[in-house]
Amino acid sequence: MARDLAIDLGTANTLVYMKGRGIVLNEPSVIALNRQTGEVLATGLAAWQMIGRTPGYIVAVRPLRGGAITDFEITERMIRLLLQRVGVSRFTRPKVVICVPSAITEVERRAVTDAARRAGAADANLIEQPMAAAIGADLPIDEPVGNMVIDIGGGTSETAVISLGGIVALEAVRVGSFDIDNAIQNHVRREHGIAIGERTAEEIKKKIGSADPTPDEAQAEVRGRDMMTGLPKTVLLTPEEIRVAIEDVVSSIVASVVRCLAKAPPELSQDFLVRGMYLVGGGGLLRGLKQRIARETQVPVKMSTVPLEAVVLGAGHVIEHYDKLRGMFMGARR
Amino acid sequence: MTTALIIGAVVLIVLAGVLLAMRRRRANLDPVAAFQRHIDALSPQARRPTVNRVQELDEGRRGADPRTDDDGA
Repeated sequence: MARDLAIDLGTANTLVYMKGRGIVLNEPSVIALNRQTGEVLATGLAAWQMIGRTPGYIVAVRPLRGGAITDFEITERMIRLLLQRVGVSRFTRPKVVICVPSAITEVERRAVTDAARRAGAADANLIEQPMAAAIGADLPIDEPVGNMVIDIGGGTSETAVISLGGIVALEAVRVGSFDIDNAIQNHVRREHGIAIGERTAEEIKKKIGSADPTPDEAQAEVRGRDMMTGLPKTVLLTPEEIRVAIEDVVSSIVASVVRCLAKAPPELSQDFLVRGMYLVGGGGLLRGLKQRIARETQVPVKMSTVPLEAVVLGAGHVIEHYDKLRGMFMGARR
Repeated sequence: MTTALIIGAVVLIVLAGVLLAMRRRRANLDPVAAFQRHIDALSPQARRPTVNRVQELDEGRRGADPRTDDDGA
Protein backbone atom coordinates (compact mmCIF):
# COMPACT_ATOMS: atom_id res chain seq x y z
CA MET A 1 0.00 0.00 0.00
CA ALA A 2 1.49 3.34 -1.05
CA ARG A 3 1.92 6.02 1.54
CA ASP A 4 0.70 9.36 0.20
CA LEU A 5 3.25 12.13 -0.19
CA ALA A 6 3.51 15.90 0.03
CA ILE A 7 6.30 17.49 -2.01
CA ASP A 8 7.73 20.98 -1.71
CA LEU A 9 9.20 21.22 -5.19
CA GLY A 10 11.32 24.28 -4.65
CA THR A 11 13.74 26.03 -6.96
CA ALA A 12 16.49 25.48 -4.38
CA ASN A 13 15.48 22.39 -2.40
CA THR A 14 12.97 19.57 -2.66
CA LEU A 15 11.40 18.22 0.51
CA VAL A 16 9.16 15.17 0.74
CA TYR A 17 6.70 14.45 3.56
CA MET A 18 5.31 10.94 3.88
CA LYS A 19 1.86 10.47 5.40
CA GLY A 20 2.15 9.24 8.96
CA ARG A 21 5.94 9.52 8.99
CA GLY A 22 6.96 13.15 8.51
CA ILE A 23 9.77 14.58 6.40
CA VAL A 24 11.63 11.74 4.69
CA LEU A 25 13.74 13.65 2.17
CA ASN A 26 15.34 17.10 2.05
CA GLU A 27 17.80 17.67 -0.79
CA PRO A 28 18.81 20.35 -3.31
CA SER A 29 16.71 20.39 -6.51
CA VAL A 30 19.67 19.51 -8.69
CA ILE A 31 20.29 16.72 -11.15
CA ALA A 32 23.60 15.75 -12.79
CA LEU A 33 23.46 14.24 -16.26
CA ASN A 34 25.88 12.73 -18.71
CA ARG A 35 25.70 15.21 -21.57
CA GLN A 36 26.50 12.56 -24.18
CA THR A 37 24.25 9.67 -23.13
CA GLY A 38 21.62 11.61 -21.20
CA GLU A 39 21.99 9.24 -18.23
CA VAL A 40 21.33 10.56 -14.74
CA LEU A 41 24.56 10.46 -12.73
CA ALA A 42 23.42 11.99 -9.47
CA THR A 43 20.55 13.87 -7.84
CA GLY A 44 20.14 16.02 -4.75
CA LEU A 45 23.14 16.73 -2.56
CA ALA A 46 25.55 14.68 -4.65
CA ALA A 47 24.54 16.61 -7.79
CA TRP A 48 24.65 19.96 -5.95
CA GLN A 49 28.27 19.30 -4.97
CA MET A 50 29.09 18.95 -8.68
CA ILE A 51 27.78 22.40 -9.69
CA GLY A 52 30.55 24.34 -11.44
CA ARG A 53 33.06 21.54 -10.87
CA THR A 54 32.16 19.03 -13.58
CA PRO A 55 34.16 17.82 -16.59
CA GLY A 56 32.77 18.69 -19.99
CA TYR A 57 30.62 15.61 -20.41
CA ILE A 58 28.73 16.12 -17.12
CA VAL A 59 26.17 18.84 -16.58
CA ALA A 60 24.65 19.62 -13.17
CA VAL A 61 21.41 21.57 -13.58
CA ARG A 62 18.54 22.96 -11.57
CA PRO A 63 15.47 22.05 -13.63
CA LEU A 64 13.30 24.63 -11.86
CA ARG A 65 13.63 28.39 -12.15
CA GLY A 66 11.34 30.96 -10.59
CA GLY A 67 9.30 28.10 -9.16
CA ALA A 68 8.48 26.82 -12.64
CA ILE A 69 9.74 23.90 -14.65
CA THR A 70 12.27 25.00 -17.23
CA ASP A 71 13.03 21.51 -18.47
CA PHE A 72 10.05 19.19 -18.33
CA GLU A 73 11.89 15.96 -19.14
CA ILE A 74 14.66 16.51 -16.59
CA THR A 75 12.15 17.54 -13.90
CA GLU A 76 10.15 14.38 -14.52
CA ARG A 77 13.29 12.27 -14.17
CA MET A 78 14.27 14.10 -11.00
CA ILE A 79 10.81 13.58 -9.45
CA ARG A 80 10.83 9.92 -10.51
CA LEU A 81 14.20 9.35 -8.81
CA LEU A 82 13.10 11.22 -5.68
CA LEU A 83 9.92 9.13 -5.47
CA GLN A 84 11.94 5.96 -5.94
CA ARG A 85 14.20 7.00 -3.09
CA VAL A 86 11.22 7.29 -0.72
CA GLY A 87 9.91 3.88 -1.72
CA VAL A 88 7.51 4.57 -4.59
CA SER A 89 7.55 1.79 -7.17
CA ARG A 90 5.50 0.68 -10.17
CA PHE A 91 3.18 -1.17 -7.80
CA THR A 92 2.82 1.54 -5.15
CA ARG A 93 1.42 4.66 -6.71
CA PRO A 94 0.70 7.25 -4.02
CA LYS A 95 -1.49 10.34 -4.06
CA VAL A 96 0.76 13.38 -4.16
CA VAL A 97 0.24 16.99 -3.09
CA ILE A 98 2.82 19.38 -4.55
CA CYS A 99 3.48 22.91 -3.31
CA VAL A 100 3.97 25.44 -6.09
CA PRO A 101 4.20 29.24 -6.25
CA SER A 102 0.77 30.83 -6.54
CA ALA A 103 1.94 32.92 -9.49
CA ILE A 104 2.57 30.02 -11.86
CA THR A 105 0.55 29.87 -15.05
CA GLU A 106 -1.98 27.22 -16.05
CA VAL A 107 0.57 25.71 -18.44
CA GLU A 108 3.19 25.54 -15.67
CA ARG A 109 0.67 23.93 -13.30
CA ARG A 110 -0.10 21.26 -15.85
CA ALA A 111 3.61 20.67 -16.40
CA VAL A 112 4.10 19.98 -12.66
CA THR A 113 1.11 17.63 -12.30
CA ASP A 114 1.97 15.81 -15.54
CA ALA A 115 5.58 15.38 -14.42
CA ALA A 116 4.43 13.93 -11.07
CA ARG A 117 1.90 11.57 -12.68
CA ARG A 118 4.40 10.33 -15.23
CA ALA A 119 6.94 9.89 -12.44
CA GLY A 120 4.64 7.46 -10.62
CA ALA A 121 1.96 9.40 -8.72
CA ALA A 122 -1.59 8.01 -8.87
CA ASP A 123 -3.05 11.48 -8.45
CA ALA A 124 -1.27 14.83 -8.25
CA ASN A 125 -2.78 18.00 -6.81
CA LEU A 126 -1.22 21.40 -6.28
CA ILE A 127 -1.38 23.73 -3.29
CA GLU A 128 -0.18 27.33 -3.07
CA GLN A 129 3.09 27.69 -1.16
CA PRO A 130 1.98 30.54 1.14
CA MET A 131 -1.09 28.57 2.23
CA ALA A 132 1.02 25.50 2.99
CA ALA A 133 3.56 27.72 4.75
CA ALA A 134 0.86 29.22 6.98
CA ILE A 135 -0.35 25.75 8.00
CA GLY A 136 3.22 24.56 8.60
CA ALA A 137 4.12 27.68 10.58
CA ASP A 138 1.21 26.87 12.91
CA LEU A 139 -0.72 30.09 12.29
CA PRO A 140 -4.37 30.10 13.45
CA ILE A 141 -5.74 30.15 9.91
CA ASP A 142 -8.97 28.42 10.97
CA GLU A 143 -10.01 31.58 12.83
CA PRO A 144 -11.54 34.74 11.32
CA VAL A 145 -8.37 36.75 11.94
CA GLY A 146 -5.74 38.12 9.62
CA ASN A 147 -2.64 35.92 9.29
CA MET A 148 0.12 37.21 7.09
CA VAL A 149 2.88 35.00 5.80
CA ILE A 150 5.91 35.99 3.71
CA ASP A 151 7.53 33.06 1.91
CA ILE A 152 10.88 33.87 0.32
CA GLY A 153 12.15 30.98 -1.73
CA GLY A 154 14.94 30.44 -4.22
CA GLY A 155 13.04 31.77 -7.22
CA THR A 156 9.88 33.41 -5.89
CA SER A 157 8.74 35.59 -3.00
CA GLU A 158 5.11 35.41 -2.00
CA THR A 159 3.12 37.28 0.59
CA ALA A 160 -0.38 36.19 1.52
CA VAL A 161 -3.11 37.23 3.92
CA ILE A 162 -5.01 34.18 5.14
CA SER A 163 -8.21 33.98 7.15
CA LEU A 164 -10.79 31.22 7.70
CA GLY A 165 -8.79 28.67 5.78
CA GLY A 166 -8.51 30.69 2.58
CA ILE A 167 -6.28 33.25 0.89
CA VAL A 168 -7.71 36.77 1.17
CA ALA A 169 -4.92 38.73 -0.51
CA LEU A 170 -1.84 37.61 -2.37
CA GLU A 171 1.20 39.20 -3.92
CA ALA A 172 3.94 37.25 -5.66
CA VAL A 173 7.12 38.23 -7.47
CA ARG A 174 9.49 35.98 -9.36
CA VAL A 175 12.43 37.15 -7.32
CA GLY A 176 14.16 35.11 -4.65
CA SER A 177 17.43 34.20 -3.03
CA PHE A 178 18.96 32.99 -6.32
CA ASP A 179 18.56 36.54 -7.64
CA ILE A 180 20.53 37.71 -4.60
CA ASP A 181 23.29 35.21 -5.51
CA ASN A 182 23.24 36.47 -9.13
CA ALA A 183 23.48 40.08 -7.96
CA ILE A 184 26.53 39.18 -5.86
CA GLN A 185 28.14 37.34 -8.81
CA ASN A 186 27.57 40.36 -11.09
CA HIS A 187 28.90 42.80 -8.49
CA VAL A 188 32.12 40.84 -7.91
CA ARG A 189 32.66 40.52 -11.67
CA ARG A 190 31.96 44.21 -12.36
CA GLU A 191 33.66 45.86 -9.39
CA HIS A 192 36.54 43.46 -8.69
CA GLY A 193 37.04 41.90 -12.11
CA ILE A 194 36.87 38.34 -10.89
CA ALA A 195 34.49 35.56 -11.86
CA ILE A 196 32.92 33.43 -9.13
CA GLY A 197 30.50 30.51 -9.31
CA GLU A 198 26.96 30.38 -7.92
CA ARG A 199 28.02 28.29 -4.92
CA THR A 200 30.66 30.87 -3.96
CA ALA A 201 28.09 33.66 -4.36
CA GLU A 202 25.75 31.76 -2.04
CA GLU A 203 28.54 31.38 0.53
CA ILE A 204 29.22 35.15 0.38
CA LYS A 205 25.50 35.81 0.93
CA LYS A 206 25.44 33.52 3.96
CA LYS A 207 28.66 34.99 5.40
CA ILE A 208 28.23 38.72 4.95
CA GLY A 209 24.98 39.31 3.02
CA SER A 210 22.40 41.52 4.74
CA ALA A 211 19.33 43.56 3.92
CA ASP A 212 19.89 46.06 6.74
CA PRO A 213 22.97 46.95 8.81
CA THR A 214 23.47 44.42 11.58
CA PRO A 215 25.86 44.26 14.54
CA ASP A 216 29.09 42.20 14.35
CA GLU A 217 29.58 42.68 10.61
CA ALA A 218 32.84 41.33 9.19
CA GLN A 219 34.60 41.31 5.85
CA ALA A 220 34.92 38.17 3.74
CA GLU A 221 37.77 36.92 1.61
CA VAL A 222 36.70 35.59 -1.77
CA ARG A 223 38.67 33.62 -4.33
CA GLY A 224 37.85 33.55 -8.01
CA ARG A 225 39.31 33.81 -11.51
CA ASP A 226 40.72 37.15 -12.64
CA MET A 227 38.84 38.16 -15.77
CA MET A 228 41.88 39.91 -17.26
CA THR A 229 44.72 37.49 -16.51
CA GLY A 230 42.77 34.26 -16.07
CA LEU A 231 44.72 33.57 -12.88
CA PRO A 232 43.24 32.79 -9.45
CA LYS A 233 42.79 35.95 -7.36
CA THR A 234 41.62 36.82 -3.85
CA VAL A 235 39.61 39.92 -2.94
CA LEU A 236 38.13 41.28 0.27
CA LEU A 237 34.40 42.08 0.27
CA THR A 238 32.60 44.27 2.78
CA PRO A 239 29.02 43.83 4.02
CA GLU A 240 28.20 47.38 2.87
CA GLU A 241 29.10 46.72 -0.77
CA ILE A 242 27.14 43.44 -0.77
CA ARG A 243 24.15 45.30 0.72
CA VAL A 244 24.34 47.83 -2.12
CA ALA A 245 24.75 45.02 -4.70
CA ILE A 246 21.61 43.18 -3.58
CA GLU A 247 19.54 46.30 -2.87
CA ASP A 248 17.40 46.01 -6.02
CA VAL A 249 16.37 42.44 -5.19
CA VAL A 250 15.68 43.22 -1.53
CA SER A 251 13.66 46.34 -2.46
CA SER A 252 11.59 44.30 -4.88
CA ILE A 253 10.74 41.76 -2.15
CA VAL A 254 9.90 44.46 0.41
CA ALA A 255 7.75 46.31 -2.16
CA SER A 256 5.71 43.16 -2.79
CA VAL A 257 5.05 42.84 0.96
CA VAL A 258 3.87 46.45 1.04
CA ARG A 259 1.56 45.84 -1.94
CA CYS A 260 0.04 42.82 -0.21
CA LEU A 261 -0.58 44.86 2.95
CA ALA A 262 -2.34 47.46 0.80
CA LYS A 263 -4.60 44.76 -0.70
CA ALA A 264 -5.72 43.42 2.69
CA PRO A 265 -9.21 44.34 3.93
CA PRO A 266 -9.09 46.91 6.77
CA GLU A 267 -10.70 44.53 9.28
CA LEU A 268 -7.79 42.15 8.84
CA SER A 269 -5.13 44.86 8.60
CA GLN A 270 -5.54 45.78 12.24
CA ASP A 271 -4.77 42.16 13.21
CA PHE A 272 -1.29 42.39 11.67
CA LEU A 273 -0.26 45.18 14.06
CA VAL A 274 -1.01 42.89 17.01
CA ARG A 275 -0.11 39.49 15.58
CA GLY A 276 2.68 40.51 13.21
CA MET A 277 3.75 38.89 9.94
CA TYR A 278 5.54 35.54 9.69
CA LEU A 279 8.62 35.04 7.59
CA VAL A 280 9.33 31.58 6.12
CA GLY A 281 11.56 30.17 3.38
CA GLY A 282 15.33 30.04 3.04
CA GLY A 283 15.47 33.59 1.65
CA GLY A 284 13.96 34.84 4.89
CA LEU A 285 17.18 33.86 6.67
CA LEU A 286 19.05 36.76 5.02
CA ARG A 287 20.46 38.88 7.83
CA GLY A 288 18.53 42.06 8.54
CA LEU A 289 15.62 41.20 6.24
CA LYS A 290 13.21 40.80 9.13
CA GLN A 291 14.22 44.19 10.52
CA ARG A 292 14.11 45.80 7.07
CA ILE A 293 10.54 44.61 6.38
CA ALA A 294 9.44 45.64 9.88
CA ARG A 295 11.00 49.08 9.45
CA GLU A 296 9.43 49.74 6.06
CA THR A 297 5.96 48.39 6.88
CA GLN A 298 5.75 49.42 10.55
CA VAL A 299 4.40 45.93 11.26
CA PRO A 300 6.20 43.46 13.55
CA VAL A 301 7.85 40.57 11.69
CA LYS A 302 8.45 37.18 13.29
CA MET A 303 10.54 34.34 11.98
CA SER A 304 8.97 30.89 11.82
CA THR A 305 10.74 28.34 14.01
CA VAL A 306 11.00 26.04 10.96
CA PRO A 307 11.52 28.44 8.03
CA LEU A 308 12.88 25.81 5.65
CA GLU A 309 10.35 23.08 6.41
CA ALA A 310 7.14 25.09 7.00
CA VAL A 311 5.85 24.63 3.44
CA VAL A 312 6.28 20.85 3.30
CA LEU A 313 4.90 20.44 6.83
CA GLY A 314 1.79 22.38 5.79
CA ALA A 315 1.39 20.26 2.68
CA GLY A 316 1.97 17.22 4.89
CA HIS A 317 -0.97 18.27 7.04
CA VAL A 318 -3.10 18.51 3.89
CA ILE A 319 -2.09 14.98 2.83
CA GLU A 320 -2.97 13.74 6.34
CA HIS A 321 -6.48 15.24 5.92
CA TYR A 322 -6.72 14.77 2.17
CA ASP A 323 -10.51 14.46 1.81
CA LYS A 324 -11.38 17.28 4.20
CA LEU A 325 -8.91 19.73 2.68
CA ARG A 326 -9.45 18.97 -1.02
CA GLY A 327 -10.93 22.44 -1.39
CA MET A 328 -7.46 23.90 -0.90
CA PHE A 329 -6.11 22.44 -4.11
CA MET A 330 -5.40 24.89 -6.89
CA GLY A 331 -8.26 24.81 -9.35
CA ALA A 332 -10.69 23.37 -6.77
CA ARG A 333 -13.92 25.26 -6.11
CA ARG A 334 -13.61 27.49 -3.06
CA MET B 1 -31.98 -22.67 3.05
CA THR B 2 -28.27 -21.84 3.43
CA THR B 3 -28.20 -20.32 -0.05
CA ALA B 4 -31.16 -18.10 0.82
CA LEU B 5 -29.41 -16.97 3.99
CA ILE B 6 -26.21 -16.14 2.11
CA ILE B 7 -28.14 -14.23 -0.57
CA GLY B 8 -30.06 -12.38 2.15
CA ALA B 9 -26.84 -11.44 3.95
CA VAL B 10 -25.22 -10.23 0.72
CA VAL B 11 -28.31 -8.13 -0.12
CA LEU B 12 -28.25 -6.61 3.37
CA ILE B 13 -24.55 -5.77 3.12
CA VAL B 14 -25.02 -4.18 -0.31
CA LEU B 15 -28.02 -2.17 0.94
CA ALA B 16 -26.07 -0.96 3.98
CA GLY B 17 -23.18 0.06 1.71
CA VAL B 18 -25.48 1.97 -0.66
CA LEU B 19 -27.18 3.75 2.25
CA LEU B 20 -23.81 4.69 3.75
CA ALA B 21 -22.53 5.98 0.40
CA MET B 22 -25.72 8.04 -0.13
CA ARG B 23 -25.43 9.53 3.35
CA ARG B 24 -21.78 10.39 2.82
CA ARG B 25 -22.54 11.92 -0.58
CA ARG B 26 -25.34 14.05 0.91
CA ALA B 27 -22.95 15.25 3.62
CA ASN B 28 -20.31 16.05 0.99
CA LEU B 29 -22.80 18.07 -1.03
CA ASP B 30 -23.89 20.14 1.97
CA PRO B 31 -21.73 23.29 1.68
CA VAL B 32 -22.13 24.21 5.35
CA ALA B 33 -20.97 20.78 6.51
CA ALA B 34 -18.15 20.74 3.95
CA PHE B 35 -16.89 24.17 5.07
CA GLN B 36 -17.09 23.13 8.72
CA ARG B 37 -15.07 19.99 7.98
CA HIS B 38 -12.52 22.12 6.13
CA ILE B 39 -12.17 24.52 9.08
CA ASP B 40 -12.10 21.66 11.61
CA ALA B 41 -9.26 20.03 9.69
CA LEU B 42 -7.26 23.26 10.13
CA SER B 43 -8.02 23.60 13.85
CA PRO B 44 -5.24 23.45 16.45
CA GLN B 45 -6.44 19.97 17.54
CA ALA B 46 -6.27 18.60 14.01
CA ARG B 47 -2.88 20.20 13.46
CA ARG B 48 -1.43 18.86 16.70
CA PRO B 49 0.52 16.00 15.02
CA THR B 50 1.99 18.44 12.47
CA VAL B 51 2.84 20.93 15.22
CA ASN B 52 4.52 18.16 17.18
CA ARG B 53 6.66 17.38 14.15
CA VAL B 54 7.55 21.10 13.97
CA GLN B 55 8.61 21.03 17.62
CA GLU B 56 10.61 17.83 17.10
CA LEU B 57 12.43 19.48 14.19
CA ASP B 58 13.03 22.64 16.22
CA GLU B 59 14.33 20.71 19.21
CA GLY B 60 16.50 18.55 16.95
CA ARG B 61 18.00 21.68 15.43
CA ARG B 62 18.65 23.26 18.82
CA GLY B 63 20.27 20.04 19.96
CA ALA B 64 22.47 19.99 16.87
CA ASP B 65 23.48 23.64 17.11
CA PRO B 66 23.04 25.36 20.50
CA ARG B 67 23.75 28.76 18.88
CA THR B 68 20.60 28.57 16.73
CA ASP B 69 18.77 31.86 17.04
CA ASP B 70 14.99 31.73 17.30
CA ASP B 71 14.73 34.74 15.07
CA GLY B 72 16.99 33.24 12.48
CA ALA B 73 18.17 36.70 11.42
